[in-house]
Amino acid sequence: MTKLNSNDLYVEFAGVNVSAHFTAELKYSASRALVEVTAGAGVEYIQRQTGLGDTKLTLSLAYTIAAFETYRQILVTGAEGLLVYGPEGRVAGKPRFECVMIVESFDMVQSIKKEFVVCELSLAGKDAPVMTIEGGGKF
Amino acid sequence: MSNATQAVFTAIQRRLLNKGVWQERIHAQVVPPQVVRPYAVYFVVGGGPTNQTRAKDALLTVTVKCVAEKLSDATQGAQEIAQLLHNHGAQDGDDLPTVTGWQITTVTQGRAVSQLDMFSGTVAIYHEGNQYEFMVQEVV
Repeated sequence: MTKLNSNDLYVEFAGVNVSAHFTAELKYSASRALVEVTAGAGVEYIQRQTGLGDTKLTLSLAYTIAAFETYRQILVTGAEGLLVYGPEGRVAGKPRFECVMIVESFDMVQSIKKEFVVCELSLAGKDAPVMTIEGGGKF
Repeated sequence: MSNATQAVFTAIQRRLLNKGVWQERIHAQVVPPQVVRPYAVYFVVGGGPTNQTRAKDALLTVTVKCVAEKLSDATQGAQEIAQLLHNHGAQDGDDLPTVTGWQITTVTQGRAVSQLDMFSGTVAIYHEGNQYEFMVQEVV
């Protein structure tokens, strides 16, 4: 059984398919806050319960000259939209993450060394995700 | 369609032909016998796809040098090569001759190449030039 090492992903935000501009790295992060609820006498270990969940995603997009105008609107901080991410593309039955997300930050670096210009996009979930990869979401 | 190396070679050939101290004596890879010096020669020394994007591209390092019997001719030739190639990519604010299917986006002068050949142990032959980094992207 092979392990996934492909970069042939699918990623779309606010209706714009930016898969072809993907570069460097996409990082999907699901987290859950833990709340300490330690109580009682003679307790020797911290007791916790689960708190609120959070979903974040960072995405690097190449500055593609001929196509920049087609996706620059999704780079605007505060922009909201449905984020769809499939690590194995969008073939039916393959894992899928879907969540309405908000653009938290947008960074762009240009180097004197003539390296590819990369648009770094940081997104945070607006609310609970529609479906998650680890939760069994599928195309 | 040509590959990235062919695209770079074609662009260099078109840009350097009938220029500088070498004039029409510009050769890829191998210099034919009996060629009069000074001449210019270029060859790939390394490189390949960058694998930084999903598009086809290549970052190729090409040595381009002038070979002459006088050091002054060789160094003048090296300067003329630099003037014709360095920062002459499409994204450098200039552009090399176009090659179908590929765009040379940047050309960057790199480390110096300097060599002295003692032909027959008595005649000095000077090689002066640079390695150039050609960033080539497929045009789709």
